[in-house]
Order: sequence, then C-alpha cells, then structure tokens
Amino acid sequence: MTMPLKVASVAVFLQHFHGQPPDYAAALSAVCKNVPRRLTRFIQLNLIGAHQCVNRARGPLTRDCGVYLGSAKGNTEDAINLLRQVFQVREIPNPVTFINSSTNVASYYLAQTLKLHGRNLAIASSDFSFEAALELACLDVGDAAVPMGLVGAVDQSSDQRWVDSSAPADRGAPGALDLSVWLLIDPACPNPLAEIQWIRRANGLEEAQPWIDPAGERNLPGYLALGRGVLPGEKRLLGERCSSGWSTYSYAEDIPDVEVLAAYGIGRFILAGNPGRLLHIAGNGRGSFYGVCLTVPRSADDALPA
Amino acid sequence: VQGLGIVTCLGRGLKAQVAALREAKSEPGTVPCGDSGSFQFHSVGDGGGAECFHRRIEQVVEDALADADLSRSEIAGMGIFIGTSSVDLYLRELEFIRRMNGAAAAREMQWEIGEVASFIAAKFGIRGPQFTFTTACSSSANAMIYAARMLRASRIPRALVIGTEHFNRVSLHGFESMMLLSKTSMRPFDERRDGVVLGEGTGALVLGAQDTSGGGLPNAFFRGAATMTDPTGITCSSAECTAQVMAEALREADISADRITAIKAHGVGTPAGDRSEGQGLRLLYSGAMPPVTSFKPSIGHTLGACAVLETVAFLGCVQERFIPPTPGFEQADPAIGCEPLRRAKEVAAGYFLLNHFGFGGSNTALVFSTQP
Repeated sequence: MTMPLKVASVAVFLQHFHGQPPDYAAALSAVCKNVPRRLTRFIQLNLIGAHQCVNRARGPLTRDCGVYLGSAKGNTEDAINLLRQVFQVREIPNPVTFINSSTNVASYYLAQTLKLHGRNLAIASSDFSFEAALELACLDVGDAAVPMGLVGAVDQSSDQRWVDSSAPADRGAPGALDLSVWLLIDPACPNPLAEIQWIRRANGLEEAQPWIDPAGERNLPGYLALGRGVLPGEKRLLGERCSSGWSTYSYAEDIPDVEVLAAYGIGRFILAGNPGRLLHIAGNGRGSFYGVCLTVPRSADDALPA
Repeated sequence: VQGLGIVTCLGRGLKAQVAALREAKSEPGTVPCGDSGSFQFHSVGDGGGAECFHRRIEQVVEDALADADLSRSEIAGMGIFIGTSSVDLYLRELEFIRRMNGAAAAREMQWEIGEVASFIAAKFGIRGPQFTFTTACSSSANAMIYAARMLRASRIPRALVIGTEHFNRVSLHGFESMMLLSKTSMRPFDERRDGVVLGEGTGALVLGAQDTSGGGLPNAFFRGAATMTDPTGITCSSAECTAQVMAEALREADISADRITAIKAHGVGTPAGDRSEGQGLRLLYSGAMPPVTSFKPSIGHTLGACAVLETVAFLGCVQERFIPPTPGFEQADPAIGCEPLRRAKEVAAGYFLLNHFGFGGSNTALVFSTQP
C-alpha cells in the first residue's frame, strides 16, 4: 500500500461521566442536520464524532468514501437490553433494538446521513480494534480502492449489572467513559493536519524495537507514546532505545481505560498541532504490538481546538 | 483455496454438503424457544452448552489446517479473518440465564467482539493479525474480501477465513419481531415465499497466494469482489444498489457479465429481499441470465456465516461439476424475473458470481473462477 497518507480532519468526542450516561441528542443535533429517529446511544456516539470530523474537513466527502468503524465491544447497551427483553421480561424484542444492536448499523446511519455508498465496515480486533480499522483503511486508500476513508474508534461504557436492573447501577461509576474518535484520510487534501507514515504489527518486542530510530527524527521533534497493553518491562526496554531525540508523549493518565484508547492519543496529538513525529506503540499484554507512525508538518495551519 | 473445513446441518466436511445439495435436501428441524413455542431451525446437532460453541469452531479450523497441510511456522504466520453476526451471543445467553437464576458469574464477560479470534489464535498458535467483521449477513463475505486484499498486498503470507454462527434465541426472536421468519418453508424467488428459516454452522478457508499440495479446492480461485453500502435501505437494499455491487465485482474481476457461468444468489426467501436481488440481477442481465441457485433452503440462513458456508459448498459442487437446484422453488414471481434452478445442472470450468447482502445496507458480491 502507498504511504504516507494525509489526514484531512480529526475529531475527538469523549464523555467521562458519573451516574446515568448523558443524553447525546442535543450534541448530535448540533453537528448533524438531519438526525434519524430512534437512535440509541452507541449510534449517537458514532454520528457525533464522525460528523464533527466531516464538518471540520475543508472539502466535501466523495460518494465512495469508505467507512471503517473500529469497536472492540460494539453496541453493548442494546445487546444487554435484548437479553433482558428475551429472558427477563420474556417478550419478543423490540425490532428497532434488535436492528440497532448490530455494530454496522451505526456505520450505516453514518452512510445514510452523509450519503455514502462505498465500503462500510465494522471491525473488531480486541486490544487493537482502532489499529485494525486504520490498517484496512490505509490499505484501501493507499491502493486507491477508495478515494478517501473515514476511520472511527468508538466504544461505550455499558451497564454491567446484566440481570438485576434494580441493583445500584455501576454504569457511570468512576471510570465510565464513552469515546468516539474519527479521522478522515484524504490523499487529495492540500493542507493535511498530519500524515500517516506507516502502520505495522509485531510479534515480540524484538520486532517492535527497530521501529524506534535511536537517533530520533532529523527534521522534526520525535514523540514516543506507549499506549495501553505495553507492560512495564516492555516500556523500559522500548524507552531505552530512545535518545535525546525523543520525548515522551503521555495522554491517558486521567481517563479510564478503553480498548480504543490509542485513537484518543493519536487524535489529541494531531489536534494539538505541534509539529513532530509521533510513534505510537500499543500492546496486548501477550507480546503483540501495533505501531502507528505519523507526522504533523510544520506547515499545518489547521490546528483545531481539542 | 488451500484448505477448508465446514459443518452445517448437512453434516461435517465438504462431501456431506455436496451430497445433500445434489439431492436438494431441505429438512429443517425445530428448536424450542421458551414461551414462544418452537421454531424451524437448521441445527448442526452436535449438542449444546458452552463447550459445544468452542469445540465446533476448533474442529472446523483443525479440518481446514489439516487439509492445507501447513507446518507450525506457516500456521503461526497466518492472519485471522472472522465474519460473524452474533459472535458469541449464545454464550452470553447461557451466562445471562445463569445469573438470572441466582448463580454466581461463571466468568467475566468482556463483551469483546474479537474474543473468538483470540481463542483461535491461542489454540492454534496463530500470531498474525486478527480481524473480526460484523456487517450482519455479509460479515464473512467481507472477511474473505479483506483476507484476499491483505494477501494481494503481501501483508500476510496466508489467511484463515472463518464464518461462524451459533444458535441463539435473541437472533431467532429478533427475526420473529421483524416478521421475517417463514411460517411454511423457505422458497427463494418463489411467488409464495414468506421468509427465512434460520440455521447455524461454521466454515473455514485457508487462502494463499501460491498453489500448494492440492488440499482445499485446487480449482477455486478468488478473482475479485465488491463491498458497498445502500444508505437508503437498512433492512433491504434497492435493486439498483444490488446491481451496482455485482457490476463492481465483475469490473474488479475484469470480466463481463455474459462470461459468468452460474450465480449463487443470496436468495434469502423474504418477499422484499428476493425482489431486490432478482430485479438487481435483471438490471445486470437484460437478456438471458446464467443459472441461479440459492442454498438457504438446505442450510438455512446462517446470517454472518452464510458467505463462507455457501461459498465452500458452492465451490465444492462446482468441483463435482454441477450446480444444485433450489429446493422449494416452484412458481416464478413475475415481479422478479429471475427463476432459480429446479434441477441440478452440469457445469464445466468458468466464472461464478456469489452474492451476500446484510442489514445495514451492506452488499457484497464475489467472483470465483476454476482457472487461475
């Protein structure tokens, strides 16, 4: 696949909440002109992040723009509601809830509201769900199989009580987080916010270590981000390869852990608009790693508020 | 296609599928479903329980890897591409019932869609990338499409593609709530069609860029494919969009529609679904249409697994030089203009078009050939 690829726009929608999850209807109406009816929270989350991203892009989307939704857990809230309807309430499920529970229905509504006819995928890969979606998008855009790609990372906090809904809700307990991060990859963008240089996968630390050039980046400041799933010992060994040419980029100290956290870190880095080269490495705690390398050019004048 | 494994209601292994399809077998059983009584269902019949869920997938993958005759290091380098609609919803149902009955949690349920891929990777020592596609009934078609893309881009040396769907009550009642379940029997494209009969099964394909020792389907080659969205039809696409995805697959395979030898339709058996697909085929073929067939009356609608299961079975029949008929089809629907085969038809070499459509406007078409 042809790299690098230009990132034309980014949006990070994050909601850290206590108690009942927030109602996203107003936030969605603010970014989407024609909001479809009967949307549930997971779909709203998708639409808010994606429409923010598209609204910030300077050019229009093409009809064949691909949609690549990475989600480790999908629409858990509607799935749990279906279980309750069928087994606890013992009634036929609501057909809308049934349809909405499929992860790709969220990306369907995105296609509907943006009038997209191209590829539309819902992809999961446990700890690497965002990276997997990004890899397939880069593959398609890099090979010109699609003219541009909208890549998302969306996961929601859900009620884990499962059965007894009269028990105190742990949804919204400290640590509850809804996250919707979207990137628009557009090779034709004249003033990209960033360029994705490469995306790689490694089995074992010895394969991941060469990703870090000890000399750092010659023209741009280098930033190393070690994301979730990189064990302390692995962090130490990876850090040892960094010379003075690298700085550490940390982003997840004050927010709860979610599988698609890498998207948050990468999205925030791009939105900050500081010229530099970011190498983001995430692990799964079992010796596999995904690396994403991108640059924010000095000429970027498109920095947006985070 | 270097190796394969399959289990459906027709049995385990390719021979069982081909033999039953040659006979146009269509014998759904019934499953009890709480207060709702019982439903028709094409069951694998290998027992229930949590162990059965993993054992079935494990056996099919074992069959595929043995068929491909791969070394341990070759297996380790594979990428995993899974297509499934309900993922492990069956296990969640079992756990929900346990907790509802007051039992302590059997295990922490993580709600991770990628859990099945992680299980396969750990069980067989596969260390390549893992992708789980959940695009409803086109899920395993998209798994095949992206496995082929990753192979062509040399991102992986080999791909293990799995389509799997396990019985679960939520899906059954979900289709009931949408009034999509047949009250009689499945009759794709028939004027009297009234819905689907669901089924379950698991299929696995080993895909590679090179010819190997002759396992799998030595005369089956993935030629091209398309995956597109109809943003106007959440449960059923328009005829124009179904025609468009077929045309796009043919364009990618670099062949014209008149060179297609036979078509395996999605053939879901619902009034709207078959009308859309049939009219889409008619847009593609204004004149004579190649022979069309649907396997769902025999295997059931296996949702996210249907693309892998039906592709394996179809290519197995082609290898035996015949296209099976569509059980239950008797009366043509003048509103469609598409009549599937009533009797098996002999075929030789050629190109074959295979359609799979899903909720969420997800449309796919695959082109296979018998020549490289």
